[in-house]
Amino acid sequence: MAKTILTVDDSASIRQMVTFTLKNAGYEVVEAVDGMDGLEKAKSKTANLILTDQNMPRMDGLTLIKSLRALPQYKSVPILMLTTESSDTMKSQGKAAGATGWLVKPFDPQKLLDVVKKVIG
Amino acid sequence: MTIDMSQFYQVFFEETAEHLASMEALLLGLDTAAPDSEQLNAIFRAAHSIKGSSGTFGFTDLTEVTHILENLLDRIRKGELALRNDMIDAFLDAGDILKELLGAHRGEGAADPASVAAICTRLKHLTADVAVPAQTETISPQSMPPAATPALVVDKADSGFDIRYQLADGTQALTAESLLAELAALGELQVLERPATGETEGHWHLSLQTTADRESVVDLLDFVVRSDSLRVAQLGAVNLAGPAGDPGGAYGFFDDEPDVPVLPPGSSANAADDPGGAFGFFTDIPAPAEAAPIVGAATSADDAAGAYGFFVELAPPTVDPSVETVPAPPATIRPKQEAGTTPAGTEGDGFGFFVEVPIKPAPPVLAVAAPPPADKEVTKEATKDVAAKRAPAAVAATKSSAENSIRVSVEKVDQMVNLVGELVITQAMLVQSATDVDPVIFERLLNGLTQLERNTRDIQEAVMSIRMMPISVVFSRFPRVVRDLSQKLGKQVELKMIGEGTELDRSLIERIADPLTHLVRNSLDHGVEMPEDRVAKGKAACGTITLKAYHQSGNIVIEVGDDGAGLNRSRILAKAKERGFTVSDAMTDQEVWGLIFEAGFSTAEQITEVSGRGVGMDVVRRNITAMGGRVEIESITGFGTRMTVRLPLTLAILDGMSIAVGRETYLIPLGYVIESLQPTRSMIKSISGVERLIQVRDEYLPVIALFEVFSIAEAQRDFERGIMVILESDGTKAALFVDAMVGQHQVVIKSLEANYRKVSGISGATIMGDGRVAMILDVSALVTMARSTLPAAA
Repeated sequence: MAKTILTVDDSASIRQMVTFTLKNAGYEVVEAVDGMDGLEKAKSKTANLILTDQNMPRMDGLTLIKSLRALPQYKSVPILMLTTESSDTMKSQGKAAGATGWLVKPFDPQKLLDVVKKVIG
Repeated sequence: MTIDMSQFYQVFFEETAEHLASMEALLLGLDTAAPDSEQLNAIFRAAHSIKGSSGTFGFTDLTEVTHILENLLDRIRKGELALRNDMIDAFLDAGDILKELLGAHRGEGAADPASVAAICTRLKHLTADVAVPAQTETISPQSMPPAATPALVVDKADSGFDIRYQLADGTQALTAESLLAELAALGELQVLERPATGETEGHWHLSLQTTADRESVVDLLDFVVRSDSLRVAQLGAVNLAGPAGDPGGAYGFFDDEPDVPVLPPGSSANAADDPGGAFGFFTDIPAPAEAAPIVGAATSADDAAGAYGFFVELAPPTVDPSVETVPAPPATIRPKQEAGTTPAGTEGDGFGFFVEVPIKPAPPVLAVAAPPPADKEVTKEATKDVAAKRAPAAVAATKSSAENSIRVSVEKVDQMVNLVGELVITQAMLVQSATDVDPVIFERLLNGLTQLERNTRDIQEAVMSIRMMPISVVFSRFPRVVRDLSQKLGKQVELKMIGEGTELDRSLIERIADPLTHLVRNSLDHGVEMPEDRVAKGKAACGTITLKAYHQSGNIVIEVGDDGAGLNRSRILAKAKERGFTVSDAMTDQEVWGLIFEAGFSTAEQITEVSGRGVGMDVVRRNITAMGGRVEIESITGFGTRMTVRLPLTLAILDGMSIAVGRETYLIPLGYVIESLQPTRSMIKSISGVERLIQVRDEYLPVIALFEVFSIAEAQRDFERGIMVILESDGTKAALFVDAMVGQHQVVIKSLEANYRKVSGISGATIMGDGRVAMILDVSALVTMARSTLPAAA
């Protein structure tokens, strides 16, 4: 069964690109438009990997990660932050929130795929 | 796998345009004195989103501007800088530049590179919160020696940075130069090495003497240059570390390539990939960077990795023999790694992992420990063997739709509207042909037709509603218009908008925008007085312009009101006489106000660039009339003016009254019809022996005899035997004499001009239920005609 990846980003163009890339590679992709939406969708279907933006309306990425980590089914699901910020502050916050790793924007589809493959094969 | 990124452009363009529009709206709504933090955050997010997606899709010029914009917004958001009006101006201008850049990418016009560079510099200076240093102008990057002393030694060890970078692929030469200008603004800049003139690919090596901190230097470069190529080292540190040419070596992640920064693009990535095969799971990469005196997120391998790395739980600092940890003073920290185990490879890629990652191949444990510099935490790198992926819980696939709306091209909708128009006609024809059939025999047919009629009406409404858009689409431009204009004129104006959700047809939205803009500008320019004049009159210094939209009996009404000086009756009359118009002091206010819509009329004492030469108002009225609408003015001298625009909800369908003249059928747009009556002999008055007036209650109205206008034979010529339809257009009434009223219809408008030619007195045509063509009367033209043909004595 195809693995499911939840991509959370308020930018429709980024979502479209991520979804296209991952679907092409055979993954099942669920899109969410912000942290709140992401949390709902993550609850309704447990994903194998979550890719989330940081800066989003309603609920940001860090809050989403914390909320997900509080759910039993997401204790160990890898979560990557897709972010334009690569500062150490962001990294330590991401780490503290429970993120698995980060991928800096801008990234190209190939890099995204490489990283995703490294994480969930 | 190669993916054609251009397929995502359209969504990116639309999304970015939306972000820019919302950014502008938010900026205009911002209270400079006490900005709302939610609003600031939303503005920041918009800039941030544009930056992220434009970078991803390769629109580096947008990325560059938004990056600087975002930095400034971030400082304001965090309270490091106070929001000022000049900042909002700069933001708005930056938004305009971004729109231009976006337009250029969409193939609409071109952006001016100079203005792009200018706005970047302006924002940069606002961010630095300093006055523009003279260096910006005097230090021209081009004037610098392309290859100066390679072994640069700076006396003041901590007063500057040695900077090396490569620009991101596709960066324009302009960007490269503006980057230099921005760096020069921070201090004294020397370009030690640069790619051939005009080229952007290649290595840049700069020396910057500055008192600015490394954050601000890195901020400048971050995102514009390739993150894996950036090295920012303190000048003094470079000297200590060894050859200035090898600041990158300080990190030791790329042992094989001591000179990472000079690798051609791609090769460093390859180098990265090889070790990457072994996956390192690393490890607090940014840490070593921090520990080192070298600055910048992108500096170390990890940063190279700035972008990519795996963070794991820290392993004991000295565990791994494969890594040579160097407890050296900050200036010389060079964690070395064996090529085979080097995690650096993966890091160069721009991602990283904080915690245990279920990665398939089990990698060797790797740990790198760096001693803490005085002011830094201990940072360690560690990699862990990670178990195979965890089995994810199997889940039923319930696909949720992320979108609940779709984007459809306007052509498709228009085509649908046309088809529905045809359907309406066909349906009406069927009903017409069925009128003669025997209702008993054809009961089911008739029932079906009734059903068809209902369905047709419903589908017509549904289709028309697709094209309905809120007037806010037009209104949203006015805060900016009012702001810019009032600043230019030195007036204080507050804009109030009411009923922005009122919907009207898309085709009307497009056509009403310009006339409405003109009315608003006119109110601002001629209506609202200068603050001191207002105060002198006992009004608040700040004037108000009110935009209001609402539906009223099948029309949409848009009002543009101001609390300014109001129209000046005597001045308008004087001006009208001067212009040679036929006027009299007995004219009603309504008629006097109407004069300002006449061609060539302008009451402005001075022609301003704002409202122009008075060519506007007549065009405004003409455009509105052409849409089947009308415009009225109410004004009280000293208290203000209100212009009211009435428009039909749609241009495609018309509610009409059908009338018969001889064997012809005509349609009168219902909006013009006030009443109809059968005149008695006593109501008809003659002028010079010709019956030309009808007295309706206390008013004398000119009579328009349609059979005369269109030369129709066999028509009723006796006024007493026909019907008078009282019409009103532009505040002027007239009586239309017809043979009979036929009925009320909703008809689909067909352009006569497109199918035949323009005919005076006719605004269009339609196909009636019986298949015959009926002309739609141009009521305002007819009324004007009646007034002008009336003997002067009337």
